[in-house]
Amino acid sequence: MLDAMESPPPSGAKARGQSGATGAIAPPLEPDAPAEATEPDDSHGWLRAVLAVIAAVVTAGLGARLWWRRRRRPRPAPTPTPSIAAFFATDVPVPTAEAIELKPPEWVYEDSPYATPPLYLVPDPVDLLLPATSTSPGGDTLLTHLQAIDVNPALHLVGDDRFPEIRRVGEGIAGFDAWQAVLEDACKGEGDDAHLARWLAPAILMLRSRDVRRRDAEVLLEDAAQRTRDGMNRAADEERPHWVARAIRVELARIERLSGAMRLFALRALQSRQAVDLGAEEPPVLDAWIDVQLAWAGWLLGGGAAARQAEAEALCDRLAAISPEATTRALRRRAEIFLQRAEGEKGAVRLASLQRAQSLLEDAYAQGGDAGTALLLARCARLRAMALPPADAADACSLGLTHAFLAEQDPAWRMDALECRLSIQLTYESLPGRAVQGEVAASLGRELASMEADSVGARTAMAATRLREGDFAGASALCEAAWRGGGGDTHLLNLWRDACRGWTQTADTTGHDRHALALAVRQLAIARATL
Amino acid sequence: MKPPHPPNHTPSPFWNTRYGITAAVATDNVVARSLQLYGEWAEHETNLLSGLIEEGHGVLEFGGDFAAHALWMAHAVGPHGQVHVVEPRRIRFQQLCANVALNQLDNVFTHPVWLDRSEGIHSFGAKETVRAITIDSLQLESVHLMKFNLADTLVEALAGATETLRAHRPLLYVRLSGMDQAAAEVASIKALGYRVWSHVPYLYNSDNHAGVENNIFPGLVQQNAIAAPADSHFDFGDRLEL
Repeated sequence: MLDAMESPPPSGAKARGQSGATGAIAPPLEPDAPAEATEPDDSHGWLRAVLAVIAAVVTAGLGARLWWRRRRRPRPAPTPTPSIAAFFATDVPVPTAEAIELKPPEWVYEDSPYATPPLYLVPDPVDLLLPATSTSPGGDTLLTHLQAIDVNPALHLVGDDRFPEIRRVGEGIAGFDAWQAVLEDACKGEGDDAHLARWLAPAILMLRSRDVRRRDAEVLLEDAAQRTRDGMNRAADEERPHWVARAIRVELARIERLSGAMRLFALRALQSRQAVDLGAEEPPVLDAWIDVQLAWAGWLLGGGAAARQAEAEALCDRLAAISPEATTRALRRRAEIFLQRAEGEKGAVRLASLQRAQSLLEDAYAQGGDAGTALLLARCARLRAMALPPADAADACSLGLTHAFLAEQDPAWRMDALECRLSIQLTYESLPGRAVQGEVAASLGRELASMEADSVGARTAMAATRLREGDFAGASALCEAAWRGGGGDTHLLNLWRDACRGWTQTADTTGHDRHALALAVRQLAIARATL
Repeated sequence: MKPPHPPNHTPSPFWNTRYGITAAVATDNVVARSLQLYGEWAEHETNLLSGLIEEGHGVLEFGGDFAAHALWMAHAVGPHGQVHVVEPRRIRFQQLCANVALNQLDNVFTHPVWLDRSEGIHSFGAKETVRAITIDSLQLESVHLMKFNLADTLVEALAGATETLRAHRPLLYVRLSGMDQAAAEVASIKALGYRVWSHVPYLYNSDNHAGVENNIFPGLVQQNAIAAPADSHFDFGDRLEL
């Protein structure tokens, strides 16, 4: 098929073109040219024939070459055919050259928020330490030094960039000495690292104080309070609310170590001391004061607790009015209040409080999702599952598992999230009509054990899995450890009772096993009697 | 050669306790021994009660215990609250009053009477007789907590408190009297429409005020009970309900 350029030209044009091109070389070859051929010259006939042949060959060769060159030229765009597609065309942005270059010529799989997280895969460790703010050369910063401390369970920095908090995983004390040494060293200098170290130093002292006797704790907390006062004196105006919040939390840590009877007086004194700072609408201060109100409510029963929770809600209202970030924070804090209320409630009232807490947490997670909120949401969903009818409880378990998975991706929350997953799994499998799902719970239990999880909740959950596997002695030991660690609720003691019963039926009648069982039963009796 | 100023071994007439100054007394009973050595008495009880008492509350305590708990309760209820302490034993009553005066507690009211189901005279011991009254006759304006420390007094005292219990529905904290009487005491509380939970605190508090690690009450506990009206919002869910 020929295009417009290749269509055969009219005969006259062809003759003109060809003669034009070849006229200097050869005469026209048309055999029927009539004009000058009046009378042939017989003496030059053969010569004319040879010349004619040569001219024909040359002309043919040039023509073929010209045709070939025309074939090699780029073909021009064809004339667009009429189409109605334009009437349906949408505004599709034309990709720029840069965009085209950025697209690799292979498939790109994008993450989806609905993607199923990988099961039972230990993710690569993620560095959650904050990006270095110091400009020290060679990465020789406070954060790199803290990162280099390789202990398990680890301490993590979470929260605000400039004023982070130290999150402790589990009950272990490994790493405190090394962290404190690094912080002490960094405090001596100047610059961002020293600033951060001075901010973190009281926090590490507060954490340490929880593991020592009251009198030793008082010394550590007094040191923390003094460092906080020093920090407040050095602080710029915009930093002061953070230091005030730190001072409130140090005082709260001191109050927690007092006997219940002394706490009451200490809390009243704190309230009167902080009256001026509480009048200002500063998010860090309001947040810290919500901590105080929640702790206070946790130490009261009945109307006293309700009054403190109402006070905390009023603080949430003030917090929410300050800024969008503070609004998100207020959502989460309000959810914590409803969760605490639910602890003392039953039936439909409890379920309503849990529902409200979950709704607030979902909003908070949607606005600024972090692992801590995800974990709280997972725990809330589990509590709801325990209060809902079985059909709805399964959905609540699913929601809880999803958010526990999300929280698990953050190393600072991983152990707690695993514990939560195990608890949800056990709750799900205990629902009517649900069977034990293979090795899921057992596998989670083993994973927690391998992480040396030592919180009361983790030990209780692991004890439940051991009990189900028939390891009664192991379950009893975990229950006892949880009790010694501060646990003492009815669920734990019932679990311990079941472990001892199972153990009684399987233990040897003589020997070490029997002796250990007798000791466990005695400890259980003491635990029950001293509730 | 004698030192110019021999050390003074005279014991101090006061003890510095957790909630104030206490006049020293003969240490012939566990309360006095605990106050002297640890600077506190039955602190686990106050720990539990600290979650129940608020500013402005009214408290009635039967059995003074040298004001060991009245000192704390007076501060806990504050200037708008009242603490009524009933102590029938003469010497104990005087010691109680001394400690209240020493600590300038103007919201504490002391009563040298016996609490009974009806008014009259009550005899105890070989020599002492004391006036018996009913709790109702005290005509308390408000009472949020009644605390019974004396053994073998609960059933009779509650029998004389019908109107007060009906009007104020206070919480009850009771030291049960022993194996023989405990069941009857719990039953008498339940008969008033109360739910009862067990509280078994150790006498020794490892976190005591004086920081003394020596436990002179090894393994000793009290068998107490906390009770709340069945229609109230109090629920000690993690405790053993009796």
